[in-house]
Amino acid sequence: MKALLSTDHKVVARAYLWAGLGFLGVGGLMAMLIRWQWGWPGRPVPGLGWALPESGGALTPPAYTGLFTMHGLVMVFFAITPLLIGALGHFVIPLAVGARGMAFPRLSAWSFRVFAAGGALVLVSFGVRLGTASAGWTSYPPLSAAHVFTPGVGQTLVMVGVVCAAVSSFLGAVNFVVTVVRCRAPGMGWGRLPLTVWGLFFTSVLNLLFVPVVAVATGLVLMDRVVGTRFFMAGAAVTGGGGDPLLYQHLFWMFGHPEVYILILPAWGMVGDFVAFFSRKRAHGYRGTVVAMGAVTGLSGLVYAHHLFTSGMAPMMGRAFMTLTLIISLPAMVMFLNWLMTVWRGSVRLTVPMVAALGTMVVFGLGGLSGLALGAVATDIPLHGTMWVVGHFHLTMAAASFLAVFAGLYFWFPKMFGRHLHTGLAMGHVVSSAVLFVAVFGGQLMAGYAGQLRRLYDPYQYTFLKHLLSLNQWTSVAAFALGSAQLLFVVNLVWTLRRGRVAEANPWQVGTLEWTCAPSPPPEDNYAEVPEVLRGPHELSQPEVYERLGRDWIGQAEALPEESKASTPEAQPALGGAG
Amino acid sequence: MNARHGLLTALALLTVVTAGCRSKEPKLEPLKLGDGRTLTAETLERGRDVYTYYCISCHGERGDGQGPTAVGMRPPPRSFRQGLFKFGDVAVGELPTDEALKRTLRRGLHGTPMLAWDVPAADVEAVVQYLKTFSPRWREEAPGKPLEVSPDPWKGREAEAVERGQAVYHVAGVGYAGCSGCHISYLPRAELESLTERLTGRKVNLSKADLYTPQARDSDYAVAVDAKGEPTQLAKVLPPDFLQHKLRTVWPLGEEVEDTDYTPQRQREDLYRVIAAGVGGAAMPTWKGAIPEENLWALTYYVQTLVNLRDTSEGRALKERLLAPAK
Repeated sequence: MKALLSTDHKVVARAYLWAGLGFLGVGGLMAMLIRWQWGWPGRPVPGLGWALPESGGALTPPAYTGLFTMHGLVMVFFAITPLLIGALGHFVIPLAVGARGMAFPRLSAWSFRVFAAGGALVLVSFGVRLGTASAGWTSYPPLSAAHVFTPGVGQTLVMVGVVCAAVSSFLGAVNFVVTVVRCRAPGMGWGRLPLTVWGLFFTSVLNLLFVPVVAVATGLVLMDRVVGTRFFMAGAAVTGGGGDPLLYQHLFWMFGHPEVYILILPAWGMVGDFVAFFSRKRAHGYRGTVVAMGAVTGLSGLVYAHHLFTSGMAPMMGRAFMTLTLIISLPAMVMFLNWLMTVWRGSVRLTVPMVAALGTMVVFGLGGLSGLALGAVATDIPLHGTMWVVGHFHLTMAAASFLAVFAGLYFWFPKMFGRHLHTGLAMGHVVSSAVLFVAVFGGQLMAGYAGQLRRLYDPYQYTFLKHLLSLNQWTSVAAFALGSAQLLFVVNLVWTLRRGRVAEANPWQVGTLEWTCAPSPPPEDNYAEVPEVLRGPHELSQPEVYERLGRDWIGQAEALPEESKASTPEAQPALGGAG
Repeated sequence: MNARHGLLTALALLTVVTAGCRSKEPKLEPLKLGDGRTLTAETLERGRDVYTYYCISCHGERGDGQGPTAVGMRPPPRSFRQGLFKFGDVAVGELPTDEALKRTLRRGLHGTPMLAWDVPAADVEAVVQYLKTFSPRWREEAPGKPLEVSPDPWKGREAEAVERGQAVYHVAGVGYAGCSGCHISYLPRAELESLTERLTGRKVNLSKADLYTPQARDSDYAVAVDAKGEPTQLAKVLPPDFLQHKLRTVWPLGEEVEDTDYTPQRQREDLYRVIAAGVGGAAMPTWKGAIPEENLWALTYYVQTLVNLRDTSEGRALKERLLAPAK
């Protein structure tokens, strides 16, 4: 109840964190069930007999369609979004810009309340007659718009839940943008913002622009479904005139493609910060990285129709969107090279957040490369609708976002809760997750390249896919191992919250405001007095700092003493290749 | 409005919304069938759910075959309101057995949008019972007596069976079926004339007859219905040309049907079933009992040879020979 009533951004962030982790668990369990079906189609799932008594625990087709629909919906709208933006965004932004709180504290609280209402509707949908939504996470009409195709109220409840999530995202975005623009501490110029804040800021801009589109599109589908309008209904599903189902696809992907950047921009920001922090170097090409993130933000709404290459779109449009899609990979490349250059000859500390950030880079790189094949029309046509697409977007949206969430969580956890997570368990969790992500989603890429279509209840009913059974079984085994690996985090979390080592104010020895100006955890108003910012976020391994302070970091609001301190050689930390 | 007050209001609204999401479906009552059995409300409700998941988009909410995806479907989806079924393992006109309905659900109907539904046996059972709520016939009549598949008398004498079957197929008369009266003939005119003369003693002149074009025939099946679900337009049914059309309950050899290989024997038994029982609602009568059992089996053997010529060069050559202008 405190979480629902509080306007403190840190309490709201924690509420988002618990909700997001809960939904991540739900979505993950659904993923396990989907993988079971692809590995052992029609075989009873151990322990599921109580839920599906008529089939003895085997997944029936309606149960399966509900599962893959809700897995996608829950992960996108109720797990990754609240974790990356709701939890980390709410927690980090005010602290990192030197604000006492969000610009609109009550809006923060309401954004979580609306999100919680949407989440509750989604959970309720699992218990209604005829089950939950089953029109795919994209909810394409006419499948989603007519009770005859997606019977029951589950689909309706879930779509209302999605509208709630969209409203919540919009409210949060307004708050983030205003907080970054108007509430920065004195001296915190745009060029001194941590890259994480830049990522979250660009994400918020995208949310402001495109979330209303999906909210409206979903609202129109709901009207088609509940009130009997015909925005997207056509042909046999209606009598007389109708609308255009393809219009929904345009509206959906006008949000849906920016959504992948919404989910990855904060991750990019964090990776940029962490590789700098843990290479003990300034972020290479800070401005270039920011401009690249801005370019991706600007272009993200102009590439959406690559999702529609096979929808009968005009070839000229296809060519235009293909060109724009391939162009958007260039700023992403700039960022990637900047990260690599930051690590290059740095004094790399393989902390858990750093390993998670490097893992994010690897899986995002693989995801990006596999995406090129989908961005070009000629290769998209045979690959469209196959598991290749699933593998690609899971590498980018799932693996990269997930690893970034945990990079951020392992990094800011001491500040959030005042305790240190167990390093060994955390490292095991991150490394095993990263490796298994590549195994699982690599398996999906292979299956897709072999022609396996996505969403099939039993792929092996097709003769040409029969030989993929063993590949899918191995992929499923890797997925189960991935699911099991998450227990490391659960155990770590429970143990740490009860008995974890108490965290000091700046365990990572970095200079951003939250670590250098506030205790762990910070008080309600964040700072005893609002800091005055003097420098950028990555002032690491600077000779004059080392000379005068005897350490390789300095706080953003920390003034250098006038005289240099005499320091003994043995007290000098290794500076690696910094210079 | 303070936060606590607003929150309580929101929670109240949420409760109202979720409570309002109870199903509007009417509660089903137990159904007493014409054969004395009573279907429980639980079975029917489960059946309704299964029907809603899988069947409603083609067969329609009212079971009248007028679902939104039925538009333009040929053959049209069955209207369950008529209580008429083509493949029921019973004499034409009688209500089908549960086993026949389940077989149709499990296997689908070959060459139509009616798929093979790989769903739990309990769901198949439930939906078969639910179908009976659509037509009053189920409350008034018992299903017909299932027509048994008798032992095959031609085992080891297949060539002989085919030869006899050809005669049974092409010649009308006592003990013979004369299938080519509705289906097309698969013998050239001259051969058919001499076969008829040899078996019946009658000389026939078939030079003017069109023996090789199938003619659509009336059926009792609804294509369009009125607001009450009563038929306003009936479908025409084309007797299949075995060299060209897919048979609904017979599959090509080598495919898997119900997860097991479709052997010549299984194919023959399926053909026997449909020839013996006839096709309900269509012009194909019940042949079991109308002709001797050995002729029925012989006919099955012969039609099987035709079915297996479909999509083969031999079949196409036969078709060309039949359609070649008479010299």
